[in-house]
Amino acid sequence: MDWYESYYDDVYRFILFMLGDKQLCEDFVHDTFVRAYTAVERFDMRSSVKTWLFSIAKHLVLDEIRKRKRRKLFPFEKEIPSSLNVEQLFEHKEAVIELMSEIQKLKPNYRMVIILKMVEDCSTKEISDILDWSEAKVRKTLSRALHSLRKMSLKEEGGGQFGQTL
Amino acid sequence: MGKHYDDQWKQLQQFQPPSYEKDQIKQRIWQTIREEPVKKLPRIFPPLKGLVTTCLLILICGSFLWLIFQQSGEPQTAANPSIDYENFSWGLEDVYSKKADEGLELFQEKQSVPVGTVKEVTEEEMKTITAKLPMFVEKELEHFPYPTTMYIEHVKMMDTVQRYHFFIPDKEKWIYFTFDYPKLEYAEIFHAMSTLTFDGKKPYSHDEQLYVNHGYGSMLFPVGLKPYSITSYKEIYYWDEGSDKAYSKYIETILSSRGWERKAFGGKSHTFVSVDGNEVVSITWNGKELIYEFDYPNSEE
Repeated sequence: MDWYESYYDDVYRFILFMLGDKQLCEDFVHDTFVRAYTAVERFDMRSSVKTWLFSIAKHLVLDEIRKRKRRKLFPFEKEIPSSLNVEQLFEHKEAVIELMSEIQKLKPNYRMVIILKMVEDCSTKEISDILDWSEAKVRKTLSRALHSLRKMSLKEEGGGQFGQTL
Repeated sequence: MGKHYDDQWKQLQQFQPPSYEKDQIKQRIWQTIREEPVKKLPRIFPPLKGLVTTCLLILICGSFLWLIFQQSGEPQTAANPSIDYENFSWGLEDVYSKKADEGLELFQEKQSVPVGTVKEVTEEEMKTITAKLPMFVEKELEHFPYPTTMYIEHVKMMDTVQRYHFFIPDKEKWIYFTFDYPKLEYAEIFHAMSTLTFDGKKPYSHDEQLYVNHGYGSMLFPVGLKPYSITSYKEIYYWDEGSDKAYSKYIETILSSRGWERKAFGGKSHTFVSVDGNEVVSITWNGKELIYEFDYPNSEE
């Protein structure tokens, strides 16, 4: 379980910030490592363990987001509750929860790239491996994602908390 | 970046999940791995390989002997016994059946809502079902384990958009399966039906690859795919029976089918465009996975 000890925190954070749901996060962390251990023969060592684990987690969260999207297509059945339920993890940190909530409003691609860069501190090369994108696409998407976040923040706060250097 | 936001990013970076959860999840992972089929853990438990092979050999030989005794023993008066629809198996490992008020309900592991049903219906009931429900597709599935008629119903429910109905004749009755999409992926539904085996009723085994359409689409997909990742524009499947040869045959089959023209190819990738020009599908075989990338050039996002 070396991989687990080394990368549990990273994988947990990535999934939590992608989905904003603590319960689902635990399930998907479990599923990520189970998939990794049971598909170890498919790991060809071309990428690092970290990028491989992130790419497995990415598939799981994208599937979940897709399912949520489909459920939202049929809203007449019943109200879908807000998925952000992480308050207990960030007690007395309203500003952090607010930032997380803004991240949740981004498109999934923006969300992924921004979490990998700003939270997980991955290099452009690592993000390109995880997302299976070119490095140019990573840079372009990151720039657009940060721009969206900045716009969102300015709109909600009516101020300029995000500096130009973001 | 403003200092205020710098601090928030830093707090997100420094966030550490509660340690008690780490241990709980670790335990769950171990438990799941222990319960996984041995074939999925070749490097973790290599000594078990031999044991599994031996067991399989004994099982196959035993079944063979049992079949011989069966055939040579009793006279074949009941040559065509009815199928016991409650006793069946298939290759879709994580979908199992549970008794319900009327027949069986199908559940997928970790899901509390049923993903399908199984029951026996009369000819009359079958006609009523197929006439009353909004069926958009009706098709005989050739070379499946049992003669199977498929219908696809358009459904408007929160968690179901299509319901697959399969009817298998059994004397004067029909064995009737339903599966809900997207509770199960298309590939999973066809994997179930193409590996279905009723106890006591030998299934037909076709020696060539079978192909099906997913949903209302016209692109052909091999039967036997296991979904790895499905998103709006990209689908990745494991293809256990796949090989370079099988992939070439698959591409030839698409080329010979109506509706798709090859736009480009190179290496193990082929790009097809639908004859109306509204859909572009790139298919790549990487030796382990079959990857589909979809583009809809004439539609707005």
